[in-house]
Amino acid sequence: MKSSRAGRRLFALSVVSAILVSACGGSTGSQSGPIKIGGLATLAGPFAVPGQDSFRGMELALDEFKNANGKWEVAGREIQLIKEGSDATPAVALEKAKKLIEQDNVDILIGPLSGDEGLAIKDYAKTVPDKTFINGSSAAQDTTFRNPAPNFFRFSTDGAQWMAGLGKYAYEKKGFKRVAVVAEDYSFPYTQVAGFMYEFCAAGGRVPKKFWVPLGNKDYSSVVSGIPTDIDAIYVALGGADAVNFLTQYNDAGGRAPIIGGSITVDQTVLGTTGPFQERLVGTAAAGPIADTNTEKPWLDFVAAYKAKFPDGLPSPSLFAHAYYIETKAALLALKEVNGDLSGGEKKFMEALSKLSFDTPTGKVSLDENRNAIANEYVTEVQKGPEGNLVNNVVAVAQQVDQTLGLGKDSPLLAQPVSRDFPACP
Amino acid sequence: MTRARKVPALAALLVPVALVLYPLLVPRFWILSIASQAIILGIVALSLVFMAGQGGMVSLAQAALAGLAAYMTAILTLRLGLPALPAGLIAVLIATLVGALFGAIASRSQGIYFLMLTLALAVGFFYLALQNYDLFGGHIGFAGVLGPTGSPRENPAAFYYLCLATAVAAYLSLRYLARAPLGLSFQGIRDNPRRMWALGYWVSLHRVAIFAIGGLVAGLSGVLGIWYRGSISPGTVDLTRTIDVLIIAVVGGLGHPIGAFVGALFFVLVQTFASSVVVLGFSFDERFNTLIGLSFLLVVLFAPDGLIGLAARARVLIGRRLADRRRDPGPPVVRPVPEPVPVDAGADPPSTPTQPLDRS
Amino acid sequence: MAKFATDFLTVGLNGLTLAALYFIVASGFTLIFGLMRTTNMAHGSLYLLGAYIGWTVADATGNWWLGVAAGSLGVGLAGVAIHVGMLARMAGQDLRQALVTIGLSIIFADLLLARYGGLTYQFRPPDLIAGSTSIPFVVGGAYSTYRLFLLAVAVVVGGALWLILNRTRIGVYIRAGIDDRDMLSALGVNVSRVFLFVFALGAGLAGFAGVMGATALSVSPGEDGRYLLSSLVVVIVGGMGSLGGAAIGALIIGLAEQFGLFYLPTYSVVLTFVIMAGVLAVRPQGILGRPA
Repeated sequence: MKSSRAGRRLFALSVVSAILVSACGGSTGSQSGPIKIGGLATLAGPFAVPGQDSFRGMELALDEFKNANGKWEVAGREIQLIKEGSDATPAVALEKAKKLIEQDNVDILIGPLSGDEGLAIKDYAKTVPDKTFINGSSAAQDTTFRNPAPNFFRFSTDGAQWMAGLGKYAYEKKGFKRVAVVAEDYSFPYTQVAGFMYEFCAAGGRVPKKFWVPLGNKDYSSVVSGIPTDIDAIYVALGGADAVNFLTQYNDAGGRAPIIGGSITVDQTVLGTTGPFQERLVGTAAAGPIADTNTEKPWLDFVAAYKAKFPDGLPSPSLFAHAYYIETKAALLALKEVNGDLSGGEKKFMEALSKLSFDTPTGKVSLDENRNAIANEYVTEVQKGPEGNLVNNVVAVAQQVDQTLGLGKDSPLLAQPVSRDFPACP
Repeated sequence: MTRARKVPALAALLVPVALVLYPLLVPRFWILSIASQAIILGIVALSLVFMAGQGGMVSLAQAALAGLAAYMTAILTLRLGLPALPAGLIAVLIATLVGALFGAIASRSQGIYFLMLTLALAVGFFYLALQNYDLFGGHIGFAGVLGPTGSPRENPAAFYYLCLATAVAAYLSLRYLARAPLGLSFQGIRDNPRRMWALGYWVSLHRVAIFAIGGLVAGLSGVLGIWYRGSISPGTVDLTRTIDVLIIAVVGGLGHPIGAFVGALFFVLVQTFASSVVVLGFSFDERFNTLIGLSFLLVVLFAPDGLIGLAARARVLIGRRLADRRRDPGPPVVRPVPEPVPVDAGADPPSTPTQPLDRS
Repeated sequence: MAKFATDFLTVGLNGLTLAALYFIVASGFTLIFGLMRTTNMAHGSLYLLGAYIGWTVADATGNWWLGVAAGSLGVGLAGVAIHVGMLARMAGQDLRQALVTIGLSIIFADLLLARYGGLTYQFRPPDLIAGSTSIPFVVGGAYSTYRLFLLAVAVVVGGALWLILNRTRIGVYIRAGIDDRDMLSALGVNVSRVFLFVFALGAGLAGFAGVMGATALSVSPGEDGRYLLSSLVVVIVGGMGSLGGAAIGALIIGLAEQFGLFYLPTYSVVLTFVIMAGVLAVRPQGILGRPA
């Protein structure tokens, strides 16, 4: 191996330089210097756009705590925001969290964005008990519902909570008794479907068939062929444009059943697309943590602030911006309450967080005993707007929904973690 | 000992000493997230370099084999309650066997066909791990797996030494193999399978053996990987990670086993600190893939022998520069210029078989 | 029983139409490999590029057909650039060419993501080929007109390629080049120009397939990996360098995917790879491939 000498030289050089570089890296946080907040969101891959919006939400919250010089500050301590991007895989999210906590020495970590990443960060949080971990927008149920970490706080609601009010609305107001489910085959849709089914099954509804479409598959033709004919509606938990795909294919194949949507199913992309199925979208019910057509003043103020600060942002803040905004604001409010005291393993700060309750653009938020949010959720229905276009109008607000959606922790519907087969009411 | 010979000896001594002393000098993040991770990635890249270098088989299935070993470790530890070390060893064995199985499927494919087949096998495994909940834990995978040194966070130096020892053992074993009769027969099959067959060697079986060894080394990386992370999920064996192994090996230098580790260190450093690099107003964290893809492309186009090749060429240039300076108008001295690495930029690295002459 | 029959026939038609798309995508890939022994790992990225270019043009002009033309031509030109700029200099170095195309695919995918974001884009095909056609024996009585159109397009593309290969002079050169590149060159044919033509044609086909596929199934990041993989599998199963092989491979894989999705949804994806592994273990060169 002729060049192994060169190889070994290069290797030695890299090792030595790594040692030198690392020796100068990483400063320790002090109790009177700046407070470091680490922000973790998905910046690579298809979640890049929500990831960017997440950071916008964080900055909106931080802007509410500016000092006379225009810098972010709480209790006399300056706030530094260090951002890191992941790619929606738990392994990379974990590495970036480690970098923020161990190399950049942040005091508080806010993130991640996606459900699977959230589960990994929760496990990591358990190994770093003296730092505070606040959720970003990750919405898996088990992040807080099973084996929670004492230093992981989620001020946003989980994917099942997002469905609060919809199951009841579908059964009682729309009169659907038998519903088929079409959703993608991974954890976030499992949670959404479960949230819908908790209320729907409890009210007496039946879900005879569920179609779990493998991730990345865009061809729903065989799913469409398999949908039973004796159902009242189809619950579709697909992302915006996949929903358009499905609806087009369903419509082209002669399907006529009405649709019930998940939180990301009937968004502006879908409503804005013209096509023969558009007429049939009117009356589609859906639910989620925010509603674009919310007319409450706190929400309108939030949207105005978002538009003013980010003219290049999305037309309206996404649920990611909303979630990260609330989580960051919670951190800042608690910091204010303990006067910036992060000593003693951040114990006082964590206590303040768990007792925190404040008003957000979507109503009051507080935490339950697993440090998961209790907040409002919106049920919407697609209706014709003033100019003939389609909009999602709010038809009901589920008030102060907890993680059990009011069923209580011992309900059999919550006995197992959500999966393809659970909950079931065929 | 002439001066020219003393320097390599010094380097040979410096490297092991630096590697052993390393954990005592740096903070925990650098022991684990940088060095240990680089070593673990280096081992799986080493398996690719071995298969490509000695066997002429550029396999994209290495990340999948490593992932398989990680999954097996998790299953054996969490579901069957086995202690860490036996679970890890059995997992490596399973990876070796599956490597042999892959080898059997692919034994009659060569060159590019082989590359594509291994890619398809890797992606097939990814989907299996993603969709199957009974065995593989589906989308979520497994968490809470500890290695024999316990949580790396609590014993970083111990874990680092475990990784280092494994890497050194793998590296030295493969180097020894290259000169042993078996290794020579591998290289013979790489260069001229027809002749080897005529000499009585069972070519397919040797290819299976190469893949099995590749699986073994990749398995080592997978087991260390899950002990490092504590968890495994399908995202660790997806298309991106599969290609990452190739990138690491090529950037390091596909013909040189040590290149695997150099490439891995480069990769880990870029991945960790990309967010701090801001060029022309946009952070490389968002365009990390473009950065990596570009480095890879530049290496393939202009430095096909990777960073090691560049280092060797630099050494030659510096050597010549020094030689020029020292030259005096005395009697002409025939000074042997050190040979550059025998891969010229215009040809393939000596790892792919050329097309057999007759196409029947 | 009648329901089973209707289901079976409908899913079969689904498989057939999906196979049509796979054939169009894979035809370019197999052509390039067959003649030039180049594995164009950027094939999926070219598909994606074609889809995005097609969408941009169709959206700007309101004309879908223009989008198709733009996608095909644009990517064909990109193919010329790649070939002339990089691949032609590495003639004969299969591995290096594969690596270069891998690097390009990573960069393309990321730059397209930067430009078009993570959103999914929909096409609006002209009314003539959109909507549904009533077919008596399928579920629901109606079938997507566009998918039937795809089937027709695949047949036309296959036919056109066959004609080019078997009834034109350049086709003679291509087939001769597949058999013996050196002899062809010795006979005085400008082999590099033939290579360029084939690469441009293959790339153009990828771009064309991009617009076709995206109209049926929309376009979003990640589609490049998906179609590269399916092209690989189709061509490995059918045989490299063989157009008939690409058709057979596409049929097998398309039908397997759809039947799998209907009867065995969880593992339908893995089924594809099992079939591939099975074919390869028995016949390493693929069904209609030439032994290496």
